[in-house]
Amino acid sequence: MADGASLEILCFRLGGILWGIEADRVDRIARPEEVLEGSVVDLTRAIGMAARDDAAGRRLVLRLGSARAILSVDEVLDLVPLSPNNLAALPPLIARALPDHRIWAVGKMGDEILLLLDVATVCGADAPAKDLAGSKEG
Amino acid sequence: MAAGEEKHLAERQATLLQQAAAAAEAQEGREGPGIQLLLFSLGGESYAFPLERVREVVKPGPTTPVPSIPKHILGVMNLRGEILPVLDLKRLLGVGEGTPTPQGRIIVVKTPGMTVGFLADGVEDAIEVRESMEPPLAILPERQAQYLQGQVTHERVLVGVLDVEALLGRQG
Repeated sequence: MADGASLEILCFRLGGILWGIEADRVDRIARPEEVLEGSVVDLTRAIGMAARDDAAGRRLVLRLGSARAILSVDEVLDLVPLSPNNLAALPPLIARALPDHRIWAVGKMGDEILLLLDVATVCGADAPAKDLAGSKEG
Repeated sequence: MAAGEEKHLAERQATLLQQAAAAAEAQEGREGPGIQLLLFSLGGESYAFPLERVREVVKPGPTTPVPSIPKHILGVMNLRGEILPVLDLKRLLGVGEGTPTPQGRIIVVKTPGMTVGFLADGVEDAIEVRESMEPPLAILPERQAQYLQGQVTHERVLVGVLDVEALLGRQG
């Protein structure tokens, strides 16, 4: 937490959309060419985004208990504190249209809206496994 | 003019005025109170929302798409701190695909439990129509007819009056 009342959010772009994940979920940010140890889950398609060029952008290595998940993103932006004033529930019409709780809230960043990703929900979904052990991606 | 003839004419005029007043009253009774509508364009056709349902009209601002939802939901927009879903009326009615243009407007519509923005090609006017609303034409595709509460004629143009509850009730 950034302070007593704010969430610290790591912002990134994926498919032209501004997304956010709680910073304490992020283990590290990796370059595409880095060798990632262990079995990871490719979340990109699991959140309904089109396949992207894995050789570009960055990878977010996320903590999920003892496991890890990887999310390939176009660009990592910044860590921002998000106060309750700048946090809102998804409009019910949108929440009902989603297949699950993958977006748990939205953040207000001026005119722009940040979609806050619920990593646990997405990883609990039928995310395609991708074994990167010992492989050099890129 | 003879006094008798003059009296006869006066009585005739009074009778005609009484008949005119009765006819006007009957006409008003048939029509009921006027219907206030916000007129807007969509794919070259005229549509309207009941004015009482419209909270405001704004220029299209940045809209954030949300993956994995139906295409007729364009996404969410931040309207002075309020997060609103924005719907593509053209897609909903099956008359094309909405794209924000300089003339385009977001019509913010309210219901007791929900506030939603609808993208329209342009807002024309707020009007009051005195004639009664007719049922949607039978030749309309079901896709459109299901969202219409009726049709009115304004300046010789047929206007489809949208049913907000039907539009929002079938979402999600």
